[in-house]
Amino acid sequence: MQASTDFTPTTELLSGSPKMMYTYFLLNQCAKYLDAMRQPKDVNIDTVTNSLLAFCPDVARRDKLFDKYIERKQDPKIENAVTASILTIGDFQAYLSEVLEFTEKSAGGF
Amino acid sequence: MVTVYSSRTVKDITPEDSAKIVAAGVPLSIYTSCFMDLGPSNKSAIKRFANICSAINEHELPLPPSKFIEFVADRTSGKSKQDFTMIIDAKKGYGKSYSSAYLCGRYAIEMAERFKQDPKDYFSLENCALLEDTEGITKIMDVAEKQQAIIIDDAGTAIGSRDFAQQKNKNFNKILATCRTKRWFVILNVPISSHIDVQVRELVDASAHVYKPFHEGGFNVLKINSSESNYRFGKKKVFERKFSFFERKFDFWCAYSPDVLDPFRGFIEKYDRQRDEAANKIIREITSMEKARSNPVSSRDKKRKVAIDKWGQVVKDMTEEGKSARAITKRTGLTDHMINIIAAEMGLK
Repeated sequence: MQASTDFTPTTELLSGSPKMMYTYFLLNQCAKYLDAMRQPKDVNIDTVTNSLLAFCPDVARRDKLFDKYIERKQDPKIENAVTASILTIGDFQAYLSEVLEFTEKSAGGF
Repeated sequence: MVTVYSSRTVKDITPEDSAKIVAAGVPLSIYTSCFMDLGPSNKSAIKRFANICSAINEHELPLPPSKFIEFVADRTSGKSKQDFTMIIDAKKGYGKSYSSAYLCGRYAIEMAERFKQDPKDYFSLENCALLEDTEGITKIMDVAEKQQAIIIDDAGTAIGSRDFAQQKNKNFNKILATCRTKRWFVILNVPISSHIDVQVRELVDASAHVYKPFHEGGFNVLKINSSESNYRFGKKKVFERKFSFFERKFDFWCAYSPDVLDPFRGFIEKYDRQRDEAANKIIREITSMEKARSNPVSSRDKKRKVAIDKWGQVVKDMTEEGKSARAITKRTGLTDHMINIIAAEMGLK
């Protein structure tokens, strides 16, 4: 399956906030990543994973995720790079969900 | 007796209270952290909140600290000379009055605790303008001491948007714009906020809405937003934001009946009685105004009647004597037109 190469944001997004633009860009990258993972034989998993992690806005977090990826690859329980990559990108998504507030929390007062 | 905790006093929460709270299935964290974590902001967040609010009321648990009330008290008692004005809107019967009386009651308790006074020194029935016209409200404001909580119930009666250009509205706006040094906590109640004068709306610090009434549970869930109106580049913009404390945006606020607050027990009964009287008074006044409107006596008719009563006989006598209209005008000071009217009324030729 061929990934879409159209990165042109819609007019609405072009006038959106940097946060919206970044989210849009990142989700496009994730779509490409998933396409690559569907055909792992033809791609270099390390390159794909590292290029996506490179967009992590927090440098310290990015370095941790790189280390985690390498650690998982070497973990005998995980066995292959594809699973290690998917798990690491999952961690990246959890972090993004927190900082970009995909899940808004509610509070009540008295 | 229901204890009302603040963020200062909750540190010394009694073991009995703690045990009672835990036994009722209410998380102790809502007392210690001064808010309730409702998890993800989804449709069921309000249900989770309502369950806890209901349990507190049902088991007569102590009331948790209110960051909103502490924020208002900080404003009205802080170093910068500020006051706090807010609008509460909701459909008729949703509990605007009860909610505003609860907020004022909690404010009074908070202020009394800070300044070692009686809560009734800060809020009482005398501070409630119930269906009053502008004169009634200004009278209340004239006698109110500093840092009082004041409720203007059904503010549309006094400062309705339809009467925006009337002197009474202008006077009220003047009071609201300049009363900052009085440092009041003023709550205006209205079914729809657009029903009150736009200048008043622009001056308020917060707008609240009774989002969901839970009358059977004995509380209402409110949404409170800070309100800021700016005029920039020829356009007016109103910014409304959720109140945020502890880096959390607060979606809901709970308002119980003021009767749960010990210093204000029985308040609602008196409030309702006074409000009924005010409603009857308004109905009477409007009925008599409507009667006068349907049987109008215009000023022109009044003037004609007075002229006939005073000069009718003189005009008749002079006409019969054959005096000229000029002579009658000179004698009576009436215009030719009025003399003709009188002559016609009295059947003179």
